[in-house]
Amino acid sequence: MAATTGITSTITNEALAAFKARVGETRKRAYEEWELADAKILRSQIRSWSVINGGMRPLYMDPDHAAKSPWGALIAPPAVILSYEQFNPETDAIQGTFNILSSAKVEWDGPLKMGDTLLPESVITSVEEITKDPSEGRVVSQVVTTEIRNLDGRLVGKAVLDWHFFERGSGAQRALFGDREDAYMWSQEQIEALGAEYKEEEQRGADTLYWDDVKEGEELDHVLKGPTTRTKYVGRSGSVWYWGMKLGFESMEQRPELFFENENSSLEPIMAVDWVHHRSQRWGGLPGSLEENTDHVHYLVQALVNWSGDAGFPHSMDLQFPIQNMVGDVTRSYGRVTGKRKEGDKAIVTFEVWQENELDERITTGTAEMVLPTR
Amino acid sequence: MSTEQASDNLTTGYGFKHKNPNYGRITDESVEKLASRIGIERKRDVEQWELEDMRMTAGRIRRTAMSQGDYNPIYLDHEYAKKSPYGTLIAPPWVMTGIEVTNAARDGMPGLHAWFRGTTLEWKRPLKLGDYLTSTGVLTEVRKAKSQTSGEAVIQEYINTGKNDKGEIIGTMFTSWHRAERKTSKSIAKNQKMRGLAEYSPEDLMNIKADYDKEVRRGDKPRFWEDVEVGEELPFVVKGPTSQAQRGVGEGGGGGMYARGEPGDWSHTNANVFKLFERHPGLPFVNEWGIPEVPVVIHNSNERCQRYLGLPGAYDAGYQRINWTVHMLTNWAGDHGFLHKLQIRFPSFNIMGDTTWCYGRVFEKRQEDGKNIVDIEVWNDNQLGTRVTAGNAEVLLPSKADPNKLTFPVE
Repeated sequence: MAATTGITSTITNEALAAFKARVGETRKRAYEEWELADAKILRSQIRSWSVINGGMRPLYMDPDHAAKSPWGALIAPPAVILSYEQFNPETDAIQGTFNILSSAKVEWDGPLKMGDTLLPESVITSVEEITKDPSEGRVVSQVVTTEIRNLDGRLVGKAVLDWHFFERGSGAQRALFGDREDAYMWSQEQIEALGAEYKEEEQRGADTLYWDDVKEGEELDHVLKGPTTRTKYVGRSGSVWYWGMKLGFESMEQRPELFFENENSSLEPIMAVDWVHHRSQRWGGLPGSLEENTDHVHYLVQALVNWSGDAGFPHSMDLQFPIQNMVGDVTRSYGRVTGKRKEGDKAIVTFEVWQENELDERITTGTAEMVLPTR
Repeated sequence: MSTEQASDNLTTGYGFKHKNPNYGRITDESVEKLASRIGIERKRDVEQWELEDMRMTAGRIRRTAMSQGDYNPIYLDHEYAKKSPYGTLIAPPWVMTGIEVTNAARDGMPGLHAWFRGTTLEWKRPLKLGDYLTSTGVLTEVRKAKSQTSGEAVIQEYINTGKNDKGEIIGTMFTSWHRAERKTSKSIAKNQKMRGLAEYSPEDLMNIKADYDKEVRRGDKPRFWEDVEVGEELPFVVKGPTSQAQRGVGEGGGGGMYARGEPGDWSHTNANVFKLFERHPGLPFVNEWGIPEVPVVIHNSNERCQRYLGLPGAYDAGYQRINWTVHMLTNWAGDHGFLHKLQIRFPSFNIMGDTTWCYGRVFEKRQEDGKNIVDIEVWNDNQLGTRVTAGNAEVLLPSKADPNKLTFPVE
């Protein structure tokens, strides 16, 4: 029988040096002519993104509504550009480590429309050791910059993601959970209250909000998400199509540190420990599993576009994720207008934004900018 | 929450109480209500734009093949496929299992457990790069049954027909399902030969790896009907050990790119899940942390199946075993052969963590209506030697008498 606890991993000097040597490495998804259909944004894809994270706005779901919008067509939830990074932190970094997204800077040049063909290119822009206390284990930061262009080469968006890698079993990894010993336990009354809170969400939609009418200090209506469940998180390694089969075995030989010995004493990709509480507890010695912070960017965008209506569009976001949510938590997204400015032909509103969970922990902090039409 | 309470919540609902007193029970009324749908053709509620989005792209074909561990170049290599009898990339034949318009897990008698008894797939022609697949389905049979182990049960059967975008039939899929009350399902589980989870020594894993390396793919070298001998064994393929990570890709997790946020796709999160449970208050079970979830996720992990269903682990839905058997058959048939029919049943559970070996043996060869047919007995055994799948297949092969005649389409 497999051991019940205690998966550990170590970031060696050699592994760190090899990781640092990759700074400047680029990866571009190249498509042959006959493959280009796979790079095109489909309506069904937009709907799926919208259902899972984006809030099912008519601008994403209803072509008739979208045709009358300033964009003239269905658009994708803006935060999907985070998913275009070409380096997989789970399989293509310091193998065997535990990773979280620590911060995200995102810029948009405009909406991603249905039918657009998007070609991403990622570059590893930095790798640095950021260990605070060596006795608590090493921590390494990797920053990846991804630019997404359409077929004619125009830049449509850019994401700079800072991934932090922790030694498994280290104090630094455990510290991500703060004082928490278990996932949050919900009562029936609380669940019913959340159901009622969801019904209060309002989307401005086609009613245009003008830059001229925005006042500093104005607050966004908050947006609720969660409680998250494993319905969402199990199987999120969907891009790795060979687990459990022949290529999976070959991978075990080539990269054994990527695997752990599961309840069958069989080898399974180590990130599968991180998806569900039972496994994180059993093998990680942790209180449970954590949410993915990329989802939190979607949630904040939803709060912003609920406020702005269809004519507004995110211009940039700069977010930090100082406290991690566990699977089973809720996230409430908030924002407050901090200023307005004009830059070229863009009329921009700036925000302080933040997110809180059911424990009133401020799990996300940062700033955002929206472009609005003017009168 | 105690195990007993969690288990009770599974059947009684919690948080959003259902009002159907017959929820999860077999009654004459619920059986008759379901039977009233027999013979009615049902179409998947899919709009034209959705069909356009479902066209087989190179990426979709590649992911479908690789998710099952089938690296046949006829699915992956555009240049290779152009020189094959198909002239282009084709989708793995098991995409036909996606034509089910509905099945017993979604159709009638809510709250009852549904087990996939078996299927008969019949293929007429391949689904090619750029094609999409439409389907219709008919409920053909609803009958009460008694079994030695399960007490009262209901057998529920369907026939589905899949067509490509030109209206040509790709094939048909017959499915047979066993419905039972969840308490009865538990007694089935207890009456099964109970076993623990699979366990592997390092040597076991090396042996499995060695078996992977024994895979033989006929590929572009035609296998002629005349050269086949009755009694001949097909080269086996091995699959697994399965795991949460493998199931995540192998069974697709549900919903996928076509999640609509409506009942029936299982990608419900956030506000959508609350809407779903308001519409279907009997659907959710309450998880270990008091959160309502769709019951299908119980099958995503061994520990939840142990906790909520009293089973040794998470058993599969059966679909992957169809796919793997198709892999074994198409490896043997080569690019010039055509898998015409596969009848398969599932005599035993396949538990997460198991390894599956797919076997076949030729038991007859015949020539009928211009077709050169090879009949093959197929079966899957797990690491314990338990037969988890059994059935028969028909493969059409080219004949030396007319070597350039294609084995498809089958009219």
